[in-house]
Amino acid sequence: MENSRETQQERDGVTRRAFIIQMGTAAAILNASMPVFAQAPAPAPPPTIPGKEKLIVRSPRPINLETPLKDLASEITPNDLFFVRNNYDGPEINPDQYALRIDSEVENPLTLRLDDLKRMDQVTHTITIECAGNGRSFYSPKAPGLQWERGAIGTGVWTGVRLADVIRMAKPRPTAKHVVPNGNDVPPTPQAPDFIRSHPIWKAMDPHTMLALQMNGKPVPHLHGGPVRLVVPGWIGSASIKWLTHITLADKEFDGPFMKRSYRSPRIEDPNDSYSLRSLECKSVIVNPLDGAQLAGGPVTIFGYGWAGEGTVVGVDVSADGGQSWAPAKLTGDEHRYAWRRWEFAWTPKSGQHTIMARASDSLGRVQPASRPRDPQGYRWNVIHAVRVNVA
Amino acid sequence: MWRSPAWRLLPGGAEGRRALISVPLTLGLTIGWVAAQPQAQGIPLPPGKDVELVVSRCIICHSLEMVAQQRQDLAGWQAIVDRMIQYGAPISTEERQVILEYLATSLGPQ
Repeated sequence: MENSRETQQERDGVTRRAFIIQMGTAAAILNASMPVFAQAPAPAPPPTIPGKEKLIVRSPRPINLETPLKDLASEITPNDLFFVRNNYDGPEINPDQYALRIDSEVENPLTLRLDDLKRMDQVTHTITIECAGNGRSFYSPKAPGLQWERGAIGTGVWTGVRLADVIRMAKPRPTAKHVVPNGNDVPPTPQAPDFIRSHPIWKAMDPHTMLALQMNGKPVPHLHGGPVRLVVPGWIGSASIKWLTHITLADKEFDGPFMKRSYRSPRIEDPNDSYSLRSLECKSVIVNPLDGAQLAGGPVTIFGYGWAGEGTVVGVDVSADGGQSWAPAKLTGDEHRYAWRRWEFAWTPKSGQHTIMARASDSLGRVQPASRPRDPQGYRWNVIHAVRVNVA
Repeated sequence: MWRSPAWRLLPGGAEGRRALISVPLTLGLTIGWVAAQPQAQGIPLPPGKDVELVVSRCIICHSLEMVAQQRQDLAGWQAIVDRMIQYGAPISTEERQVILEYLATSLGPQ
């Protein structure tokens, strides 16, 4: 009881301070996004979010930001270019008052502070995070949801604690089959469901699954779920809960709307049934050249990334003639279990119009498709990326 | 518990001293902004006679960009609006009809 009261007080402390900061942010965002008090008929300039000026604002509230493809040129996505997907916004958490509770199907329920986590064994992994809805805007007819193009993805170097180590400290009971992480984001109404998703304990115990304290060498920024976020590698981004404050070990999969309604796709064998999304698709993207590029002529290095969630990219084929012929690209980037792999392809084009395509294949036998059937909520878009260029 | 500032515009949503700060600020921004746009100029939504109702109900919980980027037929919009009502959007039965008409007409499939 005393513990929980203390936690509540701490949370109130967090809340009050964060609220004031948040109000400042909210006002800044509102001001930035709505500079329309004057009668000027010109449309308002697109809003930007402080610290994320180069990103496309899909929504200022909750904050959802997409990285333009041209800004994904670096294998590691810098923090200021990393996409943001929030189902709900949340208050900033004062690191000194951060507390993580682990309870339910455990023998040793515990509360860890940020310093406790910092004292534990630290691991660093390069991991790609992609939103399940990345590419949704390419479905026709349009699927409901944020209309992401190709930039709801990024690769970070994450440092923190293995989730498995935290779970072991809590001594899970044999009945603990699922891990239910919850973050400090807040639904806008009392009736809106909390953003909670669960994953099976085997994924939680994967040594790559981590509580990240650092993103690219810096404390995880608030917009990316700091001070502590989960990173569930290879799985859709929504598994990687931000502002992690509570981990429940449970005997069953969580059954809230973000498990039962959202983040589901039709089963191939029975389209009337659906399944909860886990692994990312086998997919690739062309970062250079960009669609519509005017090239001067001479040799061009076509490059991009391939990734495959729980699979590993085994090859990326490139076509420079609209898919009539294909040749393997060279996998040039560093290889990490759960990160995208850079590839490149040397090309000396003749003058004229060309359509360049890239097609990844993975260790699970998956190959990027030329088309994709309707997905009611617009997930799983991994159709072969094609860019049209004009060579002088 | 922290709530998105505009949450306090909901009936019964005001709580404690935080509301004292946030209601005037949020209300001022929202009303000032809506009032400044008789022709929906600057609002990221297509013009329409009922656009102000749509703005006033939706913006409580999320930005209008969330709405403007959707393209759905009536059935698609019904599913969305009914879920929003379930999640606490203060939309009466009459308003639901008006809002659906606007959305299905102005943001229908292309």
